Amino acid sequence: MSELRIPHSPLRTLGRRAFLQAGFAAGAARPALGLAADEKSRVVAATSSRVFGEGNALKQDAAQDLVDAAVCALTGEQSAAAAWRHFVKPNDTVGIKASCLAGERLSTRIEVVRAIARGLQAAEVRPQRILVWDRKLSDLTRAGYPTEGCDDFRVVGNDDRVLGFHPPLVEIGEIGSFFSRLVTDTCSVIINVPVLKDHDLAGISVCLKSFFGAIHNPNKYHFASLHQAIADVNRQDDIRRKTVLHLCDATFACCHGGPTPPPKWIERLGTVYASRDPVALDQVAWQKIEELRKAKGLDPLLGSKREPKHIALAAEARLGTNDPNRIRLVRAAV
Amino acid sequence: MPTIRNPQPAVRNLTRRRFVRQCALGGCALAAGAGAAWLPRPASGQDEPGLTTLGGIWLTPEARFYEKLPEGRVRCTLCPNLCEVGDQERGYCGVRENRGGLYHTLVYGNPCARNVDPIEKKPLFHFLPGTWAYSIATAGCNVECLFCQNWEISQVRPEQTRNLNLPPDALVADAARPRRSYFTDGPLRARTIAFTYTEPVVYYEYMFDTARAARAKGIESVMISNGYITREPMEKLCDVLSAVKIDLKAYTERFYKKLVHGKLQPVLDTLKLLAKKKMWFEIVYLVIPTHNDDPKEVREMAKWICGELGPDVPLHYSAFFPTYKLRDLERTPPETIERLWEISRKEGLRYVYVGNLSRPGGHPGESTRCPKCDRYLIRRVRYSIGAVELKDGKCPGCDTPIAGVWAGVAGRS
Repeated sequence: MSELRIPHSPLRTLGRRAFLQAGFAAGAARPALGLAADEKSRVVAATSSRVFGEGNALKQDAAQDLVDAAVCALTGEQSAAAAWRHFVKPNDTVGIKASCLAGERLSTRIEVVRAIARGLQAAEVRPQRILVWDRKLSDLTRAGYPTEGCDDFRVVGNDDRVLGFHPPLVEIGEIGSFFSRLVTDTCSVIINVPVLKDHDLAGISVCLKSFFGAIHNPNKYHFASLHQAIADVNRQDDIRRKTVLHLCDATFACCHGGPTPPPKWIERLGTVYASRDPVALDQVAWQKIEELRKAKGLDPLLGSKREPKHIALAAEARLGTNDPNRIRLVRAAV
Repeated sequence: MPTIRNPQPAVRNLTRRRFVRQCALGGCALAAGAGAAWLPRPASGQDEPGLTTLGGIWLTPEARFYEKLPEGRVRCTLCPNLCEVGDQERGYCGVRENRGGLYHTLVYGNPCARNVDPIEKKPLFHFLPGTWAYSIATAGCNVECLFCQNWEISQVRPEQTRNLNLPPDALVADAARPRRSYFTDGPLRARTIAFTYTEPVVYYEYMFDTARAARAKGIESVMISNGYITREPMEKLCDVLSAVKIDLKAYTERFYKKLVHGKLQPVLDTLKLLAKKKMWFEIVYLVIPTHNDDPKEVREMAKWICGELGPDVPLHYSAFFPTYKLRDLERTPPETIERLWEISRKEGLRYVYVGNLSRPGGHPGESTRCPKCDRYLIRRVRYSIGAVELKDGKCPGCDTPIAGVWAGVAGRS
């Protein structure tokens, strides 16, 4: 079947100039995460009980306060605009990776994404260069993201007819996959915005697992060698270089029944975590999930078949640190 | 002239000169990468009815083999993977999705490849030789062979292929339609529908309904499969299929675990089931240097086939070429194939073949010979056949019955 090619179609509305700029910007190397021996990975937790609105909705102003507080605490800046300038430049094309598998029940909240988009705009990134993406457009729409008429960002799926995946096959450790063109071509910067949740196979699905949404064949790695495959996906060059911030939406979370939990397992935390280190953030998220499980009388993930071993494997691959002594958890004032 | 009952007219009347000419033409077409009738290609709407759409998924009926589990989860029971799948997630095959606790197939009526091939290409050498097979595939596979030749459609999801909207009745009507061909004087008519290229088990419901509709229209169906399927669905399939080809990828669990991401035993179980059901089937063994070319293993396999399935099961040894994730090996040397061919014949198998050897003028191991008097009965060069010298399914020289489906529907002769 040599004549079959995975289709190549760059984002339809991105002009040639913008597309080339995005490509050049993507080419500009950003340092991969690597900590000096005496350095600690900072994970910021910003929490507010005021963030909850009616039903599952969040109050937009309060969500903005949460996100601003998290990025300011992470960067040490006083204003959100200054904080966001640590991560993006005005000519960047920014991909916000949402996690929307669970639909309205437990996906990256649109209010959190809107707060991020407004922060980016404060750093002079134009809204049309802010792309909210996940594995499928239908996942995003089920989670409440509008496909049209949004002033703050655009919504795209990497598994739809517009973008597709980038040949050739990338082989890293356990995986052999095409990566989304959003990751390889379109975006110069990625902001990973997963949800804090339990996962029936991986133990937890937070920052590292979220990038399974960037490959064309995640189904091949959910059953065997899952943990190694998660680490390996995160070793891909574009993901390592372009992902400048991991901002975990833990306003709602689940400690059991994930990744698409029934309502009874979903709880309100009102928290946003932020870090440059996906491994450290996952380690903190895991501990939080264990804490929630203990409070509900559930067995710990540690030592179970579902222990999230991908965190340690990612640390071994030098994608970050899972050593509690090298993680500084900072509570941000909201 | 041979007495084969149901060949294509053009093939039946093939003279030696025409046979050579067609072989040369086929070689040229292959070399040029032209769209010859038997080259597998993705579904195309340009010269055939039906439009293709990237990621087109029109029908998503409920799957037929799964169990509902607590909290909206399901367990697929179609293949030995027995995937437990959460809501909105997919099984290992990538073409079955849990939607709110109901398991759906996403490839029903959505083939991504369609072509008309010689039945010899499947390969099925003892099933209606010289006829044409309308061949289709959808995206997806329930294993991941590191040496998959069709990985660009088997290892992707249906959103990533160009698909036809071709429900079973439309597919059968399309299969029955006469076609132009470089290789026949008159219009080419498919005698069978072949579910092939990727793994038909993953589009089980589509295959089953199509095969049933085709039989009602006088068209037979064949499955070209890895045999990685559970017992109940395979038993049901036997009611609507006429022949099966099974890829036995090795005779060790080690190989299946390392290079296939599956297990050997379920495949052996499927083979035994096919023999028990008296389904016509043939076995292909792709010989991969250093991985499954150990003569001892192959001898054990030949013994097992002979003992458990019978000596009349055709066994095809096929040469490997580097592809997908196994690109650091050389092609299989012809001598290796020939050695395994000899070993299997010595173990008592009566119909052992070689394939993928690209030998000018063909290889003796491509042709069918009488197991008793060694007379040539069907001469082949790759996918082309010459005379079929069978008389009522028997050797005209010594009257030995030759196992196969030479006319009519399934059932060993």
